[in-house]
Amino acid sequence: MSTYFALVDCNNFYASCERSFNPKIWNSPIVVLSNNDGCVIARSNEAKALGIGMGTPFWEIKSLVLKHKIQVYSSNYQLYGDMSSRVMNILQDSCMDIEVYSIDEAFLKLNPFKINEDQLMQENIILRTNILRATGIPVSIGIAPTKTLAKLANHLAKKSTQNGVYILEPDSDILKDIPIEKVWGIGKSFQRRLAKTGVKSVADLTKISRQWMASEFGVVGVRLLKELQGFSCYDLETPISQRKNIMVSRSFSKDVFQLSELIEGISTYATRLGEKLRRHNQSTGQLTIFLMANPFRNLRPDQKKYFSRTIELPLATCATNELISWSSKVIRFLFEEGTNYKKDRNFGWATSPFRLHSRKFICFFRQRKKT
Amino acid sequence: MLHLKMELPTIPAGFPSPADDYLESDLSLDELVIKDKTSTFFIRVEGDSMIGAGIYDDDILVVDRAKKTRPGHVIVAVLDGEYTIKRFIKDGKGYALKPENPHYQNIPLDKYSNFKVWGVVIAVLHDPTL
Repeated sequence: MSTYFALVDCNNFYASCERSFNPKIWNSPIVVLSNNDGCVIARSNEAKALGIGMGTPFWEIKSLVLKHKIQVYSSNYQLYGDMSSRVMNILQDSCMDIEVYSIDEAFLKLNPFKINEDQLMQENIILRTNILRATGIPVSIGIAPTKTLAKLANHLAKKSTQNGVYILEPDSDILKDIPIEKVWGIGKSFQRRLAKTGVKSVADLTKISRQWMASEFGVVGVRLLKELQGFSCYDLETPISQRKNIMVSRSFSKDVFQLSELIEGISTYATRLGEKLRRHNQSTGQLTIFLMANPFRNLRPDQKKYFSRTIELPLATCATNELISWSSKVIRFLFEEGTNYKKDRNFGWATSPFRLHSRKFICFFRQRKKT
Repeated sequence: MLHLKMELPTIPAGFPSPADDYLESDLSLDELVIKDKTSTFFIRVEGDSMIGAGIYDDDILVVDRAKKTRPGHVIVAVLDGEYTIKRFIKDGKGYALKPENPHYQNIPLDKYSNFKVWGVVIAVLHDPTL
């Protein structure tokens, strides 16, 4: 089984947030309004069923609201932000590779060693249940070999499943029934040009030749086609690629038990980090050190695998010596006797928020060493 | 003439360094009380049905939504679309919601009850001033 992407999407997110705290409206139609209560920006399923469209001005639905006792909320972004970070944290705990795509969506790159579809299904049903229990937010999970297909799978998870999880294979018959406008990245003009050639369903689209796509729609079109055929062209856009965080992460070739070896290792990473920061004209005000015990032969009685600590630096820096000094302090703090640190991937650490050099604070009042 | 000389911070070896201040975590009520940040919420109490359990009007409850409910737990439940805080118990007749105040009656639960657990109370914040 190759790599799979999952798109986790919170159902009617803003409406679900409001609902999570108010049992009286668990079964009522809900709409959430934009700033200044101008128009509808979120609807519960019940409100959608009443035909209320996204972005409808509020005054247009006033009579509907009275007639159907629709619950109307002004947007409360503090609440939605808090609930979003809870959901994303649960996702992060379940999966190392995650791209937070929006306030209510995230892509996960699923472990390719999950052997079969049943297991994949079961695990994601559990994930969904955990999120629902912890936050009260229902999510849908679409799973497929590419991000574009995962987006479609998510759509199917919402429409046609009880448990909210759908696994979509590129050769699935269901693609014959999905109109192409449901595909991520296909806009009106794209759709019109394809319709002229008789392409209506996603299955039709996957049969088009790459050369034709290339001549008509360029490289974007070809990527779209390949993604729909199950060949992944878009990887996760993790914080590393956005360069808000920089991570240096390697594994040790053998288990490491000694603090001195860890410090030696972290110093190497600190050096690499310093180089990366300077290359991008950045400094970091925050440092996270992340350690992992050997997951396949964990010697700790409690089987704890991950250890991490984040510190705020007094001044943003990109100087290797400072980075080494701070990180060895943190590692001393994290170190525990008798743990076999790390065999596989990722002994790492990330840094955020960056400041550009030019804006860097310089401290004039630091104590000077006596000469 | 004034000289401003800039130096990289020195890294003392073997002395307590200012760095330690940043490692020392502050006293945190969150860390003390909360097991799982993602599933923990605060709720303000209204009413006096739980005073026997030390839960008074206007107290703040720390509630974990993901914690598995067991008999004996004080829970935030949703009963007929309304929040209620009661002790979840099991007696000879089955499960029930028990108020901790002699002026209130137990609420027996059966399969017809419109009942749902919202979360388990894991701590009470109470101002003891009279």
